[in-house]
Amino acid sequence: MKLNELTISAARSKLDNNEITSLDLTKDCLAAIKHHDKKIHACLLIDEIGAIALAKKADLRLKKGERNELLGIPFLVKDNIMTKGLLTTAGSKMLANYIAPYDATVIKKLKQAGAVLLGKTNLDEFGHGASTEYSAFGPTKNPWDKKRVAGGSSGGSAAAVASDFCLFALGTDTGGSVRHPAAFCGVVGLKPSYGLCSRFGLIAMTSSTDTPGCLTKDVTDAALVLQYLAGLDDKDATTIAKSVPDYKKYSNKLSLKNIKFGIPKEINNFPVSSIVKKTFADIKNNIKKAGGKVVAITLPSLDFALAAYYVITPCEISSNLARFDGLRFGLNHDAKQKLATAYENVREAGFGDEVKRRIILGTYCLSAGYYEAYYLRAQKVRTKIINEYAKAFKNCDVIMTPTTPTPAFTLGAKTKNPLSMYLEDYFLVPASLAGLPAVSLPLNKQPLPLGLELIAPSFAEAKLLNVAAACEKLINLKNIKPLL
Amino acid sequence: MSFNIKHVAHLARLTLSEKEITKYYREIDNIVRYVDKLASVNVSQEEATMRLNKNDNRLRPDLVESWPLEEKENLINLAPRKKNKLIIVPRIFES
Repeated sequence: MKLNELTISAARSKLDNNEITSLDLTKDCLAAIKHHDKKIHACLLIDEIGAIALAKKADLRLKKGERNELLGIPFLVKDNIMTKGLLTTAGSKMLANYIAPYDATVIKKLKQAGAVLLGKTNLDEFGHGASTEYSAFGPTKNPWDKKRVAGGSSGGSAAAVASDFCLFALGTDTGGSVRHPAAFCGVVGLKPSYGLCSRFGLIAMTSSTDTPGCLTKDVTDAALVLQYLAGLDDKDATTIAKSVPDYKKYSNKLSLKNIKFGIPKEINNFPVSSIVKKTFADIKNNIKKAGGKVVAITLPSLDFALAAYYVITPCEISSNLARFDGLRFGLNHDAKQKLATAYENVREAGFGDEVKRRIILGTYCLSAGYYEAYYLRAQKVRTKIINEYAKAFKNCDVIMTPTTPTPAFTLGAKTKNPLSMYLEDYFLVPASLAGLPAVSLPLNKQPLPLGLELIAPSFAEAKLLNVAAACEKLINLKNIKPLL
Repeated sequence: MSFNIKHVAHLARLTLSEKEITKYYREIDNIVRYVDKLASVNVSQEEATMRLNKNDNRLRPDLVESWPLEEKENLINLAPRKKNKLIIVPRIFES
């Protein structure tokens, strides 16, 4: 077994017992990337020199007897998260030469812990998409079938973890961007509660639902990484002052006895493929056999969540992406042009197709005469969804749905029809609108991976990880990996 | 739906080719037809959720925070056109 194939917890004990060094681990990750990433295109940048320096530093700390969960652990980061001194492109031509002047708070914390930053991963431009095909630098391929997409928008991070290019990767989740590619690539994807983890240094998409998240090889590793992402940050006023529990403790309790799983009956209205239907029915039965309870719940506005999301998100995008004016950073403007022309030329040259579509849609929904009918109404529907979840959680511990309606689709299948790409997020956006924590676990791996989504009440990550770990044990697919 | 896509594109400071205008109009029309289902939801009793965790507004003293000089310089250096420490921008007022 190569070291890059280890989970964080397995590497941890080897590092702490001096069986391996962080440098060994880091070199195996770099070798795997070099060997296989031409076929996958998960990475946009590999900082080999920086990674080796960080690994050596981590080895010194280990030698001195220092111990923490992530010390010496190599990871990759989605390229819309600021990493000081490294290109941070957000998958856009607009930022093709943008070198981050400072670290995002989550990066700062991981570096302080001694985790080893290997490089940056591919994404749909600014996070807009569910396939990673909207990256200005070319799509990421699915490690299980290279004719298929990796999912998105954190497709590079998910494909990298599935390919053992790193021990974990960071993503961002606005309306499913961690959970969706996790399902398509057969890894664990955790989206924390809105307000648990700092957004400082994330390139903003939809400020009211954006959150950093992690992609890992198992649930225990998700707990280990979340420990370092969570917590109050003065630089993000939406983070909440709450004590952060020891998440690892909760990922070890593996009984499903008396856990109540709620399935919203409204999900039956949405078409899913026969394989999704079958595996979802199977897991329901297996949960019952293992002592869990499965109850029907109702979220009457569920069917309107996607519509609300695709109003709110483009509106916030049109506002957030107004900052790309070519004056302070990004593409160069022509100094001789008039201001309005300079703006238009830079934005025309810098933004891709989906980004422009969302900006136009959002600008329309916010424009005079339409604001109340679209944005305001969508935010009221959002309130309904939040209240319905609160009511539903009185009758269950977690809510379960499939993560995606189908397994990974072929490259190019949905780019011609933007609405069909949006429908990929059907099961994912409700938790985002309500700010709830959610995780996608591998439910099936062969021939193609599928995900099981679990959603918990706000800030109930400990409970979510507990149930997720028990389900992971029940599903028992951890050691099945793609052939690269 | 009918909307003036050229006007909306101008508000967003985007120039669109004739081909893009036709394409985006068709695609956005399709999306708007989908999101129009929001009109059928009764929201008369609902407040809008503009942000989550809204009871947790945090205040801090209005003080200048120290920040590494190197990071400040790198930030300014990202501007495509500069003269010394100044960022050059196109003329804003026409003479």
